[in-house]
Amino acid sequence: MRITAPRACALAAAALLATGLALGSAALAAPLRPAESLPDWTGVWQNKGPPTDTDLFDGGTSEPRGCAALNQPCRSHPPYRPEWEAKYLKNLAMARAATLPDPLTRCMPRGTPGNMRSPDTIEFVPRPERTWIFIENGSQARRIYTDGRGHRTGKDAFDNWTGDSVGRWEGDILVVETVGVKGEMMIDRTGAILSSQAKVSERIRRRDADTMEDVFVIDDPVALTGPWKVTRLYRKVNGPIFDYACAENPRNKIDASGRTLTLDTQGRVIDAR
Amino acid sequence: MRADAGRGIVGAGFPPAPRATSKFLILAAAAVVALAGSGAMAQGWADLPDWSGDWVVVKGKAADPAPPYRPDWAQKARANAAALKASRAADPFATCGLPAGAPRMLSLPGVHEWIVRPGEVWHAVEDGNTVQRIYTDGRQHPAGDDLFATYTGDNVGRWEGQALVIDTVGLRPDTWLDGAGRPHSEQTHVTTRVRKAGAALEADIEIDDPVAFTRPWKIVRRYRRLPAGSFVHDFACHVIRSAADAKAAD
Repeated sequence: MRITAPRACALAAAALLATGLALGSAALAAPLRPAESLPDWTGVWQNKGPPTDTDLFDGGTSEPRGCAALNQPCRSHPPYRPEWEAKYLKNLAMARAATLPDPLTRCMPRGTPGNMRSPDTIEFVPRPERTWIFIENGSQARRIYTDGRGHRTGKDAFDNWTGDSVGRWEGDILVVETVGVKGEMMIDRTGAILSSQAKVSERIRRRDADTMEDVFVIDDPVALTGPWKVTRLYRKVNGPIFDYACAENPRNKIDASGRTLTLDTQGRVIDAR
Repeated sequence: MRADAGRGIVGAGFPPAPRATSKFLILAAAAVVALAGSGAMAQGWADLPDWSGDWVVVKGKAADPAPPYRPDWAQKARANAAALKASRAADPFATCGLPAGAPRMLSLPGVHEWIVRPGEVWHAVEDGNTVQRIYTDGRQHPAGDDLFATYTGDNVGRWEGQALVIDTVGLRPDTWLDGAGRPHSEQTHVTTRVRKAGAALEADIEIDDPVAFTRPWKIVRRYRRLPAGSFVHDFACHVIRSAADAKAAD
């Protein structure tokens, strides 16, 4: 397996090259916002809250305050339907036993909206036609299209990690709508999950000189009984933002068949036998 | 780092900063004032070219010229190429999770974006989620211990009219220059000049490596713009690995 992985990645790259040529839905001829009028979001930012993302997606800095502000155990969010509550409780039990197989620890993307609760730093880069959110951890990149296009249709509409994000400006607030995320991605290290029917709405703005704010309303008719509202804050930090080389720390053991094993925080193998 | 690595960036422009309140901007503004005698121009949106959209590398008709390796480095390059061909070595980038780094990222397949803003340009590549940050705010390369080797290096740029000239140092010696296994040393100094050439973008890349090369290696990369409405995909190299893992676990 160790020998075939590079070939598989080369194939993936080739597939990407082919699909990269695909067109999205026809761009609408909406006037772009003049570049000179874009808000100043320059600099490097970091999630407010604990340096490790061990809390629930809405924890730590959520407004209203989430679990970190209350005595553990606490989990009033998200508003799961019973079947999804059960799935989450299973993940939560693994998280508390430090055995949660968080994909982030295997160099996989965390996906939207969990990528907005990544460790390390983050950049918000607006231009008239797109806004990029570069997330150091991963590295991960979100692209929010503000050129008037709608969500993808037909063969271009498939689930992926970051989803399909389109946005519009309301003054200096970027209003984002994301659909097309993969179902049951873990969006934090408590094991919170959403379905592929999730619609993530965000209002992103610079609250003050030192603070970026992202107000989420997550609708998921499959997993949730109602909207899940979360506010995450980012504080300005002295840069720079670095490259991220997830595979630099190859401590994961390989079993006899070549399978890469998943380790817990203590280095113990946690894959099912 | 060579003593002259940062030479030539003193004429870099500076963005208008309507809400400039940070210490950095004040310091940078002071630097621009100090550089006024060298012809520094304020750099605003109106001065910047339109490089928006999604770009892919155009395969050239002619192969790159042979790198002017010194004999011992030519031997390393041959050894890497032979090992690759015999499947006895893995391309470090293809093992997932390690960045291709600069200057190789200029040649990667998949979509390239050149995100131009006053003060900074981001060169983002779909493949590997590789992001190179090019500071055009007049700063120079860090000195001493503040300059350390990274995958994408330390990049400062200046605008010469509508051309962006990127000066790159601080590169890790364990990346390759390309998928053929061509090595380079930590002394690598890359000067990349990016500009519009008709409807295409063109990058003239000069790779100077006094340890590995007898003279600079000059190559060119061209990019064509994909139709309007294109988009960039996620890149999740490890999903392939995970699929292989799952199969192995069955």
